[in-house]
Amino acid sequence: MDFLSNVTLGLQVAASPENLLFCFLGVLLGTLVGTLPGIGALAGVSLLLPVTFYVEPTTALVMLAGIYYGVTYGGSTAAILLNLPGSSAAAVTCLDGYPMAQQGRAGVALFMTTIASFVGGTFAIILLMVFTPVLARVGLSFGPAEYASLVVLGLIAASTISSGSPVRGIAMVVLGLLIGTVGSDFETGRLRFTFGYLEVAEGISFVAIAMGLFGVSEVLNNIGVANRTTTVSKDEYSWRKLYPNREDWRASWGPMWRGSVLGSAFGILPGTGASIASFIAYAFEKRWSRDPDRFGKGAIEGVVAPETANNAAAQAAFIPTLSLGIPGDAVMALMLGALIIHGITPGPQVVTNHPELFWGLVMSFWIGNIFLVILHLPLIGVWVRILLVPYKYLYPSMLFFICIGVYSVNNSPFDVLLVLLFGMLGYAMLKLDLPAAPLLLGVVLSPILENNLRRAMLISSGDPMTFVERPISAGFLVAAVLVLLMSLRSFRRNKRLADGLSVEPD
Amino acid sequence: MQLFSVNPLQALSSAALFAVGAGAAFVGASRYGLGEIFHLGAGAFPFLLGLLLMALSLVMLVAGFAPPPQPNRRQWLGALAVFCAIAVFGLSLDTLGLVPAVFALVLISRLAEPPFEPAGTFGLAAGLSALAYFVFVFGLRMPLEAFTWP
Repeated sequence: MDFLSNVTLGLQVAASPENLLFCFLGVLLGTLVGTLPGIGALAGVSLLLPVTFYVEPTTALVMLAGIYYGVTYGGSTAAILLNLPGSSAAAVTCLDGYPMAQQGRAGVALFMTTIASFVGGTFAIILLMVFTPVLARVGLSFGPAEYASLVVLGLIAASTISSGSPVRGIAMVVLGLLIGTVGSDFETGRLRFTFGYLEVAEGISFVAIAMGLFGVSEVLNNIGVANRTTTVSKDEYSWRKLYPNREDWRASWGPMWRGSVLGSAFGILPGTGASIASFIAYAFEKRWSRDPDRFGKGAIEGVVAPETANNAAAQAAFIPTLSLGIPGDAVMALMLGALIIHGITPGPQVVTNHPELFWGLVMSFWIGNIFLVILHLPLIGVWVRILLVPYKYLYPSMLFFICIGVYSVNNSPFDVLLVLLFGMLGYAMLKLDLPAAPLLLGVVLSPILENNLRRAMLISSGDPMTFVERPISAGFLVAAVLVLLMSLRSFRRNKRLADGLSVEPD
Repeated sequence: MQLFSVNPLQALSSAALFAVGAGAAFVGASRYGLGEIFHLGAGAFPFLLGLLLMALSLVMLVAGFAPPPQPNRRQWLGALAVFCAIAVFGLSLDTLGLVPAVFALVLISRLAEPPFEPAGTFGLAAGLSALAYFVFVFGLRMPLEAFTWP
């Protein structure tokens, strides 16, 4: 395939006025969501899913992706200025970012995070351009058995590696798979688990599930928490105070490269996203440093490394999602859901059948990253003031956008009540320590898994050994078992550690 | 030290998941049809998932469990207010109209985070109603009316 002509095609698509506008809107909203503590990437993307119904699939993905990486840019602002991570991927940025702010170097920290995010993003986009088509070509040779095993591997990795308890993560995946079977069976057309409601004959609205699980329960989780009023002075963010000195630059190049590589690697792997990448990059940088004592006291490397890594991971996460149709985390599952809504089946055929979508999206990442730099450097003062929006006005507005947004999808008040149902489920799950992200992954991948499972059984004339006799499929299953054993082991170790450290008598 | 202890919340989530799994497996097998091994029916996948969920819920009983912080009285009431707000919005959108529904949503949900502050809350409700009307009804032509009462 001609790489250059694809890039040109992508640029043409991404630079169309409509895509430029929605790319800008996406990164703007992403920055807003990332800056505001109390709304993360998941809630932000869920809230804005309905907008995608009004535009082309490419434009929709351009905007949703813009929100996603915009959040990783914006999350650092609250982390540095208030010691409050605006998103979980920015949590480590607090460690050195906040001390820098206390030393009067907040401007430098904010400037360098913007540059670092840009470098990390750029690195991962290049990987995305090179590896996605290659992986997709490999994926095209998979039969139903391979595909079913790959989905199993993806689900197990995504639900066990980063969750507190592997068993609970897998249980939620299975529950999600079950919820995904609601509606008519693809082969026989038989209605399953609809309880007489024709509104769910086409399956439960995926937007309602995402908004209930991530939007409503995020609001509930922040209610009654201590007020976060704050005072930030405006004049600290003048251009002069932003600009880093030569020493800051020199200290930052190394962490940027290492952060890019680490972040991309963790972004590609299922189950490890931007948050883990930023933690690892920070720990790595601290170990690498000749003077680890400076970390935690305002070392610029401690800000640059995690911020490069989390943005690289955010972009690299698209590699498995776009090449194989296997989402590594819940936000990627939302992207796949948006594709499915537009009638595009996720999988390796997307890159070849919809080149305008893939290359347009990738090229929009460049544009979006440039928008973000422009949005951040001169306008940091504006974002700082956004932190001052009181939560008491923020959360009713969030609920408003959730309710009106989900209604607008099908013009159906029934979907609003579904949001209520899933909001209640999400809240109960939160209080029972059951993770919500694996459930969403299960819902999205359920039809793909069932479809391939049944086709594989048909092809092998009912021999379940087909999944272990075909070498590639067997490889995926062995990998799934290994991931499971590894996460069980580390879970046990962490638990023993926690038990040993706890001083409270039982 | 005990071999393991079962927290009541842990027991609750296990029991709920076991029940869902058992229900799905039973309905899948008895109503939707398992089909043949070489041609799986509509019930086979839910049946398998149901069995798996039952097994996992039992494993969860003996796995470690760190109960997350439980809501205090104020957070409970706050959650209740938010749920009521969404329910009233969903039920009043077609019967009363967009503006009353948005006002109900904002006013009821604002109860969750006292103090209520009438001026700001009514202002927010009015602002969001206007936004909803212009963007969704006027702009996107959603089949809604500002007021539908007679």
